[in-house]
Amino acid sequence: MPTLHTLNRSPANIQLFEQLINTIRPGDTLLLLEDGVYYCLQNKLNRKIQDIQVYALKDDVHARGIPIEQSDVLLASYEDFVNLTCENDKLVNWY
Amino acid sequence: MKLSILVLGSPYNSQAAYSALRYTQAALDSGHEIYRVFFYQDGVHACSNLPAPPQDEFNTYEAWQTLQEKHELDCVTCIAAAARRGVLNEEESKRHNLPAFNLATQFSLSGLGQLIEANAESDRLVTFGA
Repeated sequence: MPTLHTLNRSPANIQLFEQLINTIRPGDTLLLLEDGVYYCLQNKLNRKIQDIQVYALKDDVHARGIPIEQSDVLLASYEDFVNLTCENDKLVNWY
Repeated sequence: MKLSILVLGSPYNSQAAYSALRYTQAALDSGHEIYRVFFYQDGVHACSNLPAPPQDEFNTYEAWQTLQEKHELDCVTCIAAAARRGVLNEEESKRHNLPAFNLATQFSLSGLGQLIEANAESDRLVTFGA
């Protein structure tokens, strides 16, 4: 059952990320928002979560001046966020 | 789809109230139904009508009030979380024998049952945590 996970905390919150990693399954989607977009600066994100499409909320990425050209992360608008919520059967908000 | 929103963070301490506002706007623009917006824990601070942010800054409080009026949203504030943080309507203020009240009229005070019911009645409950 595909699940959308959202993460709004920065990489400083190690325990939260560990919980997410232990829960997320191949085919799920991860949306980074608020301080969660700082994960875009880490190359290891994509190695840790394989077969997971990762999005980052565009406005929050731009607000923090984060370059994402060289990452596999896709930018999402709030409309995309709404669509991802509806497309996935389940929703888990990590905070 | 029928969506409900849970706001757990206060303006300035977290981005929760702002993110939830933008999400709710986008959902409405996309034609979805917002069943309820529930303000809980520090999120209840967003329901006060007394904050006066500088005029050149985005006013999250006013934006929520405007959005509620425009779409007649069911915006519910947790009564217990609000009372202990000094967010009161006139009735609660009198009941506690306090000198003032500050809950914006766009919000109604109610219990956690409203959150449970929103979760049961909606296709998705989107949590904006602090």
